[in-house]
Amino acid sequence: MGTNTVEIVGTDFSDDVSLLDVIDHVLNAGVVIRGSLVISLAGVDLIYLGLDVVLSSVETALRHSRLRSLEPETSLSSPLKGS
Amino acid sequence: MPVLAYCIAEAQSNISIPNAGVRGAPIARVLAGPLQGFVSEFDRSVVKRLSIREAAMEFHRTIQELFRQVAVLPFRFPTVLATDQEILVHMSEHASEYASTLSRLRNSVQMEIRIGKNARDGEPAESGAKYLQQKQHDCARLKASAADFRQASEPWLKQWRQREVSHGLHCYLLIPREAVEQFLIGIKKIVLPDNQSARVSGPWPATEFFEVKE
Repeated sequence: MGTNTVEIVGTDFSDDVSLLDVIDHVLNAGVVIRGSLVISLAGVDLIYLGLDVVLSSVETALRHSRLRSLEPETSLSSPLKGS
Repeated sequence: MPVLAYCIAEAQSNISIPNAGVRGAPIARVLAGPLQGFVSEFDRSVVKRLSIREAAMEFHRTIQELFRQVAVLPFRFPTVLATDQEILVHMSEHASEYASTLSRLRNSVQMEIRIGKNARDGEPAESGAKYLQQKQHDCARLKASAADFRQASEPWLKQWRQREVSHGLHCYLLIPREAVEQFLIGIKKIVLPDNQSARVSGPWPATEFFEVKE
């Protein structure tokens, strides 16, 4: 067995990893209303276009996260380098 | 006026409503029988491409402010409806389902544990067979760690779910709201194998523990 300990992060945007969790949650979890209720609103597609920005941010953060995991003794809870 | 839907809570809950939601829009309450929903007016002209990420964070902050007080069923972001009457209709149609779910989750919160294998671990596999063997071995070790977490959580655990993902294992725990601090102390003691890391987050609304029929 090793010495790796468990890292605890909150839900209050105190760090970038938490931000990643937050984005994951608001986009992927929760009640979904399907059908004409949401789609009928003209112009809402603007929001879905904008989501590309969010998803790109998540992908970038994930890439940083993976790169950072190559660096030993680096806490995931510290701010991402270069961001 | 279009509205952005945030979440649903039990109507009898005495809730302090946040002053503002996304883009500072005032939060309004919609009552539907045993339920109350929270919405804000949504002016799409102020939500431009580059501010979507910020809007998502403000959405989350608003929900967390309500969730600190009571159990909520959040809507996925962005759920925009033509008027607040539409959310009223939706809540009325699903009233019994939402009410029973909120009653069940009333004093519970969701914690999450993400267990992963560190990227810097070992040499590349020499063959496909060895790669699969290594993957099987890694998977077994991740599950063993998940079992350790589950065992450490037993004193508070109401429900447990786990899901394999490409980079590891995601575990979802339903625990009493008042047990969060003790739970975190309990699992902090777990020591993982050298090639693994784990991140615990929460409390979150218990989105993994409800299913709503559409």
